[in-house]
Amino acid sequence: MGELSEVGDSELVRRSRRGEDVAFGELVRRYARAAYSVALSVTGGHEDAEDAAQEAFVVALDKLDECRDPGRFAGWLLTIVRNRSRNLMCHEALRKTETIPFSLPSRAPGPERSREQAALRDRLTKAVQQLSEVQREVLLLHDLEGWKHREIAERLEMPPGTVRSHLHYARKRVRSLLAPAGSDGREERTG
Amino acid sequence: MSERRWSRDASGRAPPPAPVDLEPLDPRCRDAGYWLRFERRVMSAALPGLARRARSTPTGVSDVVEAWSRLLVPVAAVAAGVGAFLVTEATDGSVAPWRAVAPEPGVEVEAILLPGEEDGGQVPAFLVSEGTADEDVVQFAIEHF
Repeated sequence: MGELSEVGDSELVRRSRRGEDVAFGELVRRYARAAYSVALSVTGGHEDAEDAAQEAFVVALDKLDECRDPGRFAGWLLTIVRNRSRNLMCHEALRKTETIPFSLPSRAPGPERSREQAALRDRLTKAVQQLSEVQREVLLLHDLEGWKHREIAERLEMPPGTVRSHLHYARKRVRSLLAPAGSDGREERTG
Repeated sequence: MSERRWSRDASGRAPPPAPVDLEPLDPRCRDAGYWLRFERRVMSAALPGLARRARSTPTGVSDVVEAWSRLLVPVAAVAAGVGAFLVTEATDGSVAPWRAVAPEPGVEVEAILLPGEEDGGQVPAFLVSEGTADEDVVQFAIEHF
């Protein structure tokens, strides 16, 4: 396992094409969170994001031969995740009329769950929902998944300056939405 | 405007807003084993596809070479090591193991051509006479030798 973490994406893709489960497992391990973040930015709900991200990996494996540049597997995968998430939302919209909450499931609440934390999550959820899809994606990949500007730019195929811009306005918007009533969030800009 | 000037840093660029703490949105925040289970679910869903790929992957020349090299390289390394050891032993002045046995003495050509000499047999007198034998004697000796 340790040595696989050093192997590049293109080699892992090549080995996954031959059916090596450990290679594909490493790709899943490497990009599970990013896939979830992108799915979450589209669906806005944990369960849908989870389903879309998981399905996207299986679809990616089926279509692995179509990945023309294995070195850019991450960007290719995230495109699949985005498309799966959008398709899922279309189907959900047909089935449901109510909005899907941007929240975590209650299946594993744990005894430590506090009202305060739940309230914070709800506020955060509502704030993130106010962003555009691409702003949500960049914000989640950077501030939740921990990707660098350069990685996001490469994998989402957009200029680094655009990534910085999206991140800047996403953070600013979320901070202003999270700021206590009566505050315009000015004190947070100094950070 | 004044706010923008106030927020700019020494390089003239506005510093980016501080990161937003999105940790509460990470499923791991509430379920420590979430990502492990996520990976397992994906892998169990992907196993049929992986098995299908493994079955349908043709065995190419490179695969054969690679498979051979996995066995060949260690064997060659061991053989090289043993060889190096034996050569080193031989150049140390000691006798190499395969030379410890004394060589068989060679068979002399003369012994083959002159049977009986090694047994101490005598050459017939007419052959050692000093030019006194006539032709008939020599011819007789050749025929009956």
